[in-house]
Amino acid sequence: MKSDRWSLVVGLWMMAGALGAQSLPKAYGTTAVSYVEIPAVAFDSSLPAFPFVQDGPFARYTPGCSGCLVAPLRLPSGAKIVSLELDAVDTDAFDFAFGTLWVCDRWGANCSKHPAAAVGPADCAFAGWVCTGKAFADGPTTATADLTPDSLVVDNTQNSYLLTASADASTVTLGGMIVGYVLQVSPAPPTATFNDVPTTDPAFQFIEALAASGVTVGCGGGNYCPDMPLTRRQMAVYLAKALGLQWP
Amino acid sequence: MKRGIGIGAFLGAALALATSVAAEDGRPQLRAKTYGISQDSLYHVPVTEFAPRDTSTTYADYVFANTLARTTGGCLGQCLEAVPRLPNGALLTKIEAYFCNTDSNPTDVLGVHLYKSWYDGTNMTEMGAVYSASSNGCGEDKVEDLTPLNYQVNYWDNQLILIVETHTTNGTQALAGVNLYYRLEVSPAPPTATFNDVPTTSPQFQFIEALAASGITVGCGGGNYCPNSPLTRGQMAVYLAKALGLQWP
Repeated sequence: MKSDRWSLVVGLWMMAGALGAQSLPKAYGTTAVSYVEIPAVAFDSSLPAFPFVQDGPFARYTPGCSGCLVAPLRLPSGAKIVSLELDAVDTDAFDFAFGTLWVCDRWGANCSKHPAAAVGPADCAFAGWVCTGKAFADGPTTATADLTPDSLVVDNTQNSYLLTASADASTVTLGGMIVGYVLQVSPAPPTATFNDVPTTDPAFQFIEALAASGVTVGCGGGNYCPDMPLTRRQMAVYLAKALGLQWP
Repeated sequence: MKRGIGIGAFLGAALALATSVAAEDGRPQLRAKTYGISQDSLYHVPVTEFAPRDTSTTYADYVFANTLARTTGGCLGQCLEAVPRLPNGALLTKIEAYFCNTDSNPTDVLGVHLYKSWYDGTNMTEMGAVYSASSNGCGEDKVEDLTPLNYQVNYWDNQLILIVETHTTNGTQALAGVNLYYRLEVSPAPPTATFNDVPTTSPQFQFIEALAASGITVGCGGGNYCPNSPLTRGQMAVYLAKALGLQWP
């Protein structure tokens, strides 16, 4: 399921957790997991006829589904989704909360559940969903699905993404859902932009990414001069253009 | 009360997850960028973020065939609204909307209008709009170029709002989502120089000032920036970590 490098990252993360360090939401970098929390207030409860709460990609209107909640999920294009967590509270130690991540086309139709989100504990009555399982005590209940096996990469130009949550009884309330993702650099293109950075260059993918984003135009004459030292003035141009810095 | 969930086979799952369209050169097309100044970034406004503008109206709400499209019920005029949150300084380049319609009535027109107002919400001015035709079904895609406006998002002076407007009360149409496209920009050069050795005439003046104003660099001491000194790997680390506000683990 996981590469060695990924295992190492997870191992280090767990070590950090054991040492009491907090895992903070990130926004940058390409190895550590960033988390976005979609709190309960972001879910719309006015969807008695939301068509996707039933199983299957083309399911329709479900009379009586009054507890169904839906929230849009917005992540940067290129982000790889790696985990989905559902947090809920039960007051009678008897019920389930369940939810999932839907991948729809760009106008919100033809939604399908993320296949790797279809995991739940054995005692969950709703196989095929991220399900908290039966809570044996009152209070918070959590379920987490590992979505890494499916390598779903966000593409906002082709797809839209939704979270739904529901419960089997009105004693369950949703706390929120948390989506983990990892930023990625676009794959290397087939042809080279600069004469001196061929497709075989170890930094090819990254230099092409900077060129495509308008962060660099090279050093002139169709070259990038990859081995020249960078001056402080060049660094300033790189960063200001990369981030589109605005001030004051 | 226990509620059953219908168990259906998931025929479309694999298909839906494989919808990332490859560009001609084989790379996935990821036009929605977050960084860089040469290409458009995409800000998606999902239909769930559109709220009724007049709560006294009864809306047919979201159900539209099997699509999460918000209808305007029998509402006439300005019916739904949403607030896009683009980065300050972003240059607006395009507005795009997806529409649905259950019939092909040629009088059905649904418009999505982008307005700016003053910072206090008054003095609304329309900046652009896209209109549906009468196509039957979902996925009608309309785009308008906003580059002639040359408008940069500026929340000190303006608010932005999207408004959905109907021209008929038959309620057969729905909005399925709106995309706003924008381009990041670096602030213009200031009139005076921060560093003695980077005068306003330096070709990189605008960019070095941007880094200083953002707290990414304080220069090399003595009121200078040392623009021609090579950057060490150590300095590179400080630049990037400060620029991105890196948090870990």
